[in-house]
Amino acid sequence: MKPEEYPIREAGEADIPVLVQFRRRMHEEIRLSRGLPVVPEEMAAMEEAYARFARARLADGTMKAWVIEAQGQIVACGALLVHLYPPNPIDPSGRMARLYSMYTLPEYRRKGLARRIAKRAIEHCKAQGIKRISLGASTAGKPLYDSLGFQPTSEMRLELR
Amino acid sequence: MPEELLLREAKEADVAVLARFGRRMIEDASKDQPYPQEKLAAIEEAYVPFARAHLQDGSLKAWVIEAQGQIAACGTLLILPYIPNPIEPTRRTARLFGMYTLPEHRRIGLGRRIVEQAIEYCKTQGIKRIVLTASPMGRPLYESLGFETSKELKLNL
Repeated sequence: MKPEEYPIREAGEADIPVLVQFRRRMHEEIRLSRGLPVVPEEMAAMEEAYARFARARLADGTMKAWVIEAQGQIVACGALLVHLYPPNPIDPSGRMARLYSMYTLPEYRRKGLARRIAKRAIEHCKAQGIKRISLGASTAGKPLYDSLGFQPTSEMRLELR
Repeated sequence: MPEELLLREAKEADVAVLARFGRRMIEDASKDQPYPQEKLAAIEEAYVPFARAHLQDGSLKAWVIEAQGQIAACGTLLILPYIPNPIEPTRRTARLFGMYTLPEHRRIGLGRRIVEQAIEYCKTQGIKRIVLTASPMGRPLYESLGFETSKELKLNL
């Protein structure tokens, strides 16, 4: 089967263990690429919290996730969180979406799988009348998002530590 | 702060003023390419039920500064449960928005007082990250308080 024919489907509760495991891998790879340490206890705490988060939000509909399978195994995933946002000229509805936890197994990269997932998420937003999608891109992911039309913002942030 | 100024938490009765100030903020920030009045009116209108609902459920917190009994400045925090990450497994993020000071009360630090209050509030609540979208006018204030440019990307559909 060609990679463009690998089936894509919406993730359900049964997929949460894989979504959690892929999120951990994503964070591990990002941290290693930035020369930061990977602390197993931190990763384990994140896995536990994310499993709870995903279960609650898949159930209440504020989270959607998609997976692509090859030979019956999940090889790529991505998720979308719909959250509150101040009413604004782009969208007075008071909500927006965040695309996150985009991950493809290393041996399945460079085949357009993440692009298919991002496009599916964008279609979902359009169908729901959501007018704006945000994300924080890794260096590896940025070219994909640029090519889909994502633009830089004037966002600022303050870390309280 | 001069004695005739009062900083306080906003209440439900202040929602109409927050909505009006929010509209003025957007007008000020978009002078080069103004939005049609109908669009601004729609935002002002949508803001009222949004703010009322979320003041009640605790996800929205706002502060105002009164000068001679009239609201002269305001700012709002939207507090969200957020996607767990390894550093902070049970994470909340606060978005600061709707920062506005009436023109005749500018350059005397009212915006700064409100941001400092919002930061204090987040610290007491264990909220570890505050995000905002800065206008060119607001950027120096946020930079002076330690805010840094983030690399967020956005797609408008």
